[in-house]
Amino acid sequence: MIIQTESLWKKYGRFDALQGLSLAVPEGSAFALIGANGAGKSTTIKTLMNIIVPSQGSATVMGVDSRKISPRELAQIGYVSENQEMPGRLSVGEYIAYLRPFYPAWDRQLEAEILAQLRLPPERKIKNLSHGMRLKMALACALPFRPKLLVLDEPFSGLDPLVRDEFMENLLRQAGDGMTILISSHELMELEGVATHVAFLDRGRLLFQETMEALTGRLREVHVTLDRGGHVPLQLPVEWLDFRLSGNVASFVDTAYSEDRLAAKITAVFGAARDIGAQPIGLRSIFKTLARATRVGSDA
Amino acid sequence: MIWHIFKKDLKLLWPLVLIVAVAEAMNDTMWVMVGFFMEPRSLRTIAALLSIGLVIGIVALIVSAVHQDTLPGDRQDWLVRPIRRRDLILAKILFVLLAVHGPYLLIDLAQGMSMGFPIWASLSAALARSIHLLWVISLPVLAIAAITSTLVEVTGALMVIALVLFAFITAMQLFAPDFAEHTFSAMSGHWLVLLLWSAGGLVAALVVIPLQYFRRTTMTARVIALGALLLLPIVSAAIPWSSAFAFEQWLSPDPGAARPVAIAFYPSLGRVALKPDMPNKEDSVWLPIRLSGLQSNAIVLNDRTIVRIIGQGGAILYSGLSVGDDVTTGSAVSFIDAFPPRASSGNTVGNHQLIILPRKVYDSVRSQPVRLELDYWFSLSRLEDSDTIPALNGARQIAGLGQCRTRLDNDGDEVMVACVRTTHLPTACDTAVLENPVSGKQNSLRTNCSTDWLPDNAHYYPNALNYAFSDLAFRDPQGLTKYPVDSAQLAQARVSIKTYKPIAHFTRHLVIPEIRLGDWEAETPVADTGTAPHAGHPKGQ
Repeated sequence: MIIQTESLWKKYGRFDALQGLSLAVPEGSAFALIGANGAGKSTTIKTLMNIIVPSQGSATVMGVDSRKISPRELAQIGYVSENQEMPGRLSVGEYIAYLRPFYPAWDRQLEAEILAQLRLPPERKIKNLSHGMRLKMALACALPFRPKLLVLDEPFSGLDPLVRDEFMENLLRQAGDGMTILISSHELMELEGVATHVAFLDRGRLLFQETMEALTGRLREVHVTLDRGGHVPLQLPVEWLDFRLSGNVASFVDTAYSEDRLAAKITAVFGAARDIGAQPIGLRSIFKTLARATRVGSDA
Repeated sequence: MIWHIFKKDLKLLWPLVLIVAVAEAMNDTMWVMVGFFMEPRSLRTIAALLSIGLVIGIVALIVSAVHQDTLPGDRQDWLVRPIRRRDLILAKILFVLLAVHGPYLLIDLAQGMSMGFPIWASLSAALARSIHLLWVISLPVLAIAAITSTLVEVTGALMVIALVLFAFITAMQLFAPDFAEHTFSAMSGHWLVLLLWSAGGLVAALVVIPLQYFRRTTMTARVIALGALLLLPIVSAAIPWSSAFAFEQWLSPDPGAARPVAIAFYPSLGRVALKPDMPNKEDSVWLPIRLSGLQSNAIVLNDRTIVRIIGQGGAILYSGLSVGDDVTTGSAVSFIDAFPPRASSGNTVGNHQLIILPRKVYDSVRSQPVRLELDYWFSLSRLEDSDTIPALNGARQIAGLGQCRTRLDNDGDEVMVACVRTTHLPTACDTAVLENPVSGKQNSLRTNCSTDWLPDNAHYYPNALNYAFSDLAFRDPQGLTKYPVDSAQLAQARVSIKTYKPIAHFTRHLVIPEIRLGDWEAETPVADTGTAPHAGHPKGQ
């Protein structure tokens, strides 16, 4: 594992931003950290980068305790954040020239390629860049040394779709060669084709983490047409979320989908069903369903 | 990477570096223009204000350099870069040394040389100022910048510092007005308390800076800084005078020199005949005393005296400082002609010591016989050098005082003596007298004394050089005073200058078993003859 956390806690006064988070990011994966605002995604990433110190628990990054990350490890980590503060009075070119000597593996040819792809004007002062351009700038500063680990903290926040696509396109072009990507976002469409692993955070707790394949494999949006108009059963299986009933059509998300067992479970709940349809759902719908379910759970 | 980070900061801040350097160059040019005699006055005022204003420039520059890579917060890009913290801290210190102190050093060097001092003397003065600036201003400011992230926060921190000190001083004055009697806060021209505060500030800075750069524990660092800020005034108020004086004694170059010095009540000296410019409060007593065992050409300064008046029944009627609250303003030495004694020859000197009592106390004890006990804290100085310089347009190097110049003042009634030196070793006193070498006549002796015993009194303000002035009167525009050396003799007159070096600090106890204080009030003021000792004023920088 390139990143591992064990019972990680972070307290801000009485507020627990992280509550015993245990996470494992496999090397070479594109690991998506998803969750609503305030779920603890940025806190997790900042703890991993030793920007903030955990209150309890431990985290290792590339085998090193996060609190002891040294320039040697940082020289292999690229970091892009939505609110990264770079020296505004330096130009794009000046800042890149400033950073270059800190990275032994900095590739100037790659740097030139990335700058050209991102269409960043080298002479423009950083403070005069738009939000999207600044994110591109951060990406341009995070890739030319071919990082072993690329950490992206809400990289799509506030970007228009065009810039978002450009960003992802460049990111994917540079990925590979065993690079691990840890990306936190609630813009899930962009993660869809990229993420190999997903972890879902809710109020500082990890609800689950698994491969994208397993996640999309076990979740289905199910529509059941009943023989006659029905009513909401008193007891629904816990794995069925977001249950709705409209006339004689019941809809829900099955979080433990099995083609073989679905019909039997539906019959056990509703009796006879005229038609059963199960469709794969996207990450965005998964997120919305899970977020809604956890909110309902906590309200109850 | 230290140089690399430094270059980045310089690239970003060179306009501010240039502005501060140009302002400093303008300031030192003004000081060169006002020259030895600090004239014209308007230019001197501007230069003095600019010297203070430059502190703001230095603070802004250091804060800006540190804030290029702000330490508090979690958004800074540098935090995720492979930048060694050690390199970062050293780069900031390098910036302070090269971009803040470097120009100052060069400009101070040029000022010294422009004033006629050799390169090494000028360099030593410039270096002394730079080191002083580093530990009193630059490093503490660097520490404040390390625990803040914006100029607004820095301004807030500086306002908190000012507020705490103001509150402390006000509280002490309101609730413990006699604290100066028991602590060293007001001791010896405040040098000890200033030393303690600046040393404490430096220690706090040396803890806070590495703590922030290597651990980034902003809250802890802020608590330490605030703790130091609150603790220093309290500690300075809590250290008893006796301990502080013991420290001064420990610093004495020749503590044994004061052993033969004795003090005694000296009634045969008679009552003091006040001159118009001597203080004559209604509740003042001029106590005749005698100091013996002095070497010739010695000066004894009275750091302070605690007076105890004991009634016939043994009750303590009064216990306090001999000059009331005046000691807190450091003006104990302003009564120098009344006290302390100055031994020009022989080993015994008589003089009158001014004692100012609270009005109520004085009224109650004035006519009754009382026992008087006095505890003295003295400093002994001995002659270091003496020299002469022509009274008009003289220019001469005088040991202990540096380059000296003389000229007639604008009113044509005084000879102005101005000396500038590059060294910072303390001179306890210097005396100047206008004399005619042919007739042997002398006017009043002018004495400048300071009780700043700091072994090396390097300073930031107003510039790297040390200044001393004396005005020697030879004509009274009102015609009331006749001077032995007058206008007619100025062409052949000269100024005789002596400098005195502090060598020992010592205490003495005097008991007068029975005295009626009312017997020792001053006689009616008489006209000044121009030959008697003349009130001096504290020495200027």
